[in-house]
Amino acid sequence: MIIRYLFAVCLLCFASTAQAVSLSSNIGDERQSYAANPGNTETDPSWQPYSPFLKTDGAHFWYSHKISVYHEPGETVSNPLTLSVRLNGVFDFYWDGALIGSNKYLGKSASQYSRVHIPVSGLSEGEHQLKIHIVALGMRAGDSSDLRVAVAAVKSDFFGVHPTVVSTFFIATASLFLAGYLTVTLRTGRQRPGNVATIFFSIAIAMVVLLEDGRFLFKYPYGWQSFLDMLQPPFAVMFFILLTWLVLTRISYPNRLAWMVVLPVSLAISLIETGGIEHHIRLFFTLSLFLLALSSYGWYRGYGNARLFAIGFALAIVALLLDLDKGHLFLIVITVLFATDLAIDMRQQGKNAIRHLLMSERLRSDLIKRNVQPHFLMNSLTALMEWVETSPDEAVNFIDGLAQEFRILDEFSERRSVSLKQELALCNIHLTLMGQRLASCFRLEASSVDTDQQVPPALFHTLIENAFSHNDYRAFEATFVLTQETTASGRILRLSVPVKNPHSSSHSAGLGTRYIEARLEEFCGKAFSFQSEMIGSTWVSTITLNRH
Amino acid sequence: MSFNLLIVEDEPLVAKRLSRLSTDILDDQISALHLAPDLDAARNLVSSNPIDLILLDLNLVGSDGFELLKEFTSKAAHTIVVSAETTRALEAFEFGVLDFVPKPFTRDRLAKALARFWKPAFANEPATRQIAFETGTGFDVVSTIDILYFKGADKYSEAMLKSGAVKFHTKSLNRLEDILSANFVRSHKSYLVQRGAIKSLRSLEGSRYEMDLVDGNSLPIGRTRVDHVRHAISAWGGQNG
Repeated sequence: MIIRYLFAVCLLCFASTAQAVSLSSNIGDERQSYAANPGNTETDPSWQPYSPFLKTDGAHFWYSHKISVYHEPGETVSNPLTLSVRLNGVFDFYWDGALIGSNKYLGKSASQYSRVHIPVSGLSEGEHQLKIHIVALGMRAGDSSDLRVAVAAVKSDFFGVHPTVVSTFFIATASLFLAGYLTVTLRTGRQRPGNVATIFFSIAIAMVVLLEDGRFLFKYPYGWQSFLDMLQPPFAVMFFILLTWLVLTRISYPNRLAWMVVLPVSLAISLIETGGIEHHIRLFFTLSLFLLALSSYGWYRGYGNARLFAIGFALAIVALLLDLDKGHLFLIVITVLFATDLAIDMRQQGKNAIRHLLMSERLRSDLIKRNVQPHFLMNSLTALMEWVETSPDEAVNFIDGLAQEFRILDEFSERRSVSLKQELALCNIHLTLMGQRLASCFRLEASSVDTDQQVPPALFHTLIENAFSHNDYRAFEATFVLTQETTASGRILRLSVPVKNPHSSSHSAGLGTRYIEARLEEFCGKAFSFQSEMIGSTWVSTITLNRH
Repeated sequence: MSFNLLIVEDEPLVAKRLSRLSTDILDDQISALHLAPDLDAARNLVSSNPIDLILLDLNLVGSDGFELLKEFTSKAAHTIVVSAETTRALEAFEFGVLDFVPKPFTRDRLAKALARFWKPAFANEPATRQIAFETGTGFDVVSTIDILYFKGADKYSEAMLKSGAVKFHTKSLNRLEDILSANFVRSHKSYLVQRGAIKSLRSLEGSRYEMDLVDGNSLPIGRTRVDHVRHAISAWGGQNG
């Protein structure tokens, strides 16, 4: 069936377009007789031009509108015409004086959304009279009746999908996002840029949709609507600010705060009236254009995931042009854009988690290998063979020390941190063993350090091992010194080792250094620095651990 | 026959063990035993003493094991590596060391290694593939397949390379034969020839023999060595399939 309805505008009543529609209203329920006598609305001066705002508390209204119906040539009308109605209050619809529909909610609360059918018999070609009787139960003077009537499945619906489905989709998606970002934030400890902002962004979307469309989904007292309407603008402002901030953050744009200027500029441009397009749609459009430009530039400069956002906003603008009326398609594209960003990010997080796991496993394996490091172990065993054959008592002492060191290293291999006290115990055992092997005397001085603090396992042990690899300590008395300094940003630990060998200046980023850096990264992420340098006649390793 | 032994080892107890066991094993065969705890001491001892055998630790403080191998195998003396790093054994053999003794070592294992000074190669050991030559500024490492032959020159040797270049090596021809016998044949008291360089053998008048080389030159074959050369060529032919 093809029916061409000549409505003055498809939507009968919109706050912003009401003046263009020849609607009249009259307050008071004594006017019910007008339903059967439509002509009175034009002659009776008590009928006023339409205004969406109530003049008295709990007002009763009559709205009247003339509608012309045209049929295509040769067309037979076989289905009723369905009107989609949205309204704060109780209503009765009259078509040419006959009651055709009512929401029948005469209680204290009601769902706003309903549909009214115009029977086939009433759809004859020509002019018809539509009258709506409204009882604004629970609403106060100044509140908006928010009356909207449209032909169902033409304009009021989103591409044939019932508005409640669209609303539910948005609320569900926003809630899922909220849960997703909360999970990511809890898992990553706020490491992901924009996580917290995205949580509030999801809340803002959910609240705007809920406040806008909740009336279709839930029953609540009519009187709540005006209060709920007042809550909507702050969430809308929050939505726009966070949308802009998030895009800039996710692209890793430099000077983000300065670039936020695109939002007030977009707002100013969107104030320019354009052909009946609603203000929020104009703002969507202008802001999207700016964000598209920024992400495209970011893509060109190779910033973060700018390419994703450039493509996303190009599609969002196309979506907005296809659905200029409500912008639902635009919001769906934005939703998919952020979902994609989150999915890519979570995939990356997964990869990082696996990488960290592998790193931890590798570090454990490194520490275990340290137990059987050939140079140390085989030389120790050779020394042991010699003692067994020439001085058994020495062999017993050495085996005892070696066993203690292996036991501690074995225990450390399963841990990501140990107390400095345990670490120093390990270092002292190692120094005693090396002293016995090299016929020397080594001492570790660590009087001014907090031995309860946690440090990565075998950190200083590795530095001491490095010292033995680079120095010829035979028949030498050496004191290793560990000091601590507390700063505003954290703590600094310094290990000074004596140098006794011309080759010692060639300390390099060998396996030991890489082990230390990997252990520190596992221990505190990027919140550390590690430096080694020759100062005077000592080699100083400085480890800075920042608060994180 | 007695000889001079040098132990290059920075671990006091390992050096002590090597010294004690070597003296015990070789007894009066050692005319002098030197201990070098670091590279500089080792260099001084090698330059000032006629060292015959070096027991070398590849993990001297501040030294690179590869550089040590190059340096010490280019010397006139034979080298036995004593090291904890068994992963370097193959590399050591390819540089022409007599043996690789992994730490920790027993008296028997050290005795076996020292015995190689008199009875060098085992058939199942990796062949020497590279020879280090001392130069004025450092060392040149040459692949053995790039050498045509070595010519004895007093206590030293000259290597004739395929490229036409001649290089001088401080090892005697006998010592080179000790470490190169897997791929070289002693055809004459003055020549040690690489298997790939031999083109053919020729008999001359008066029961004399010559060996034609791939570069067009010929080398004499000692009368007493003809069978040995033929046997070696036959064995290589079998290996080549």
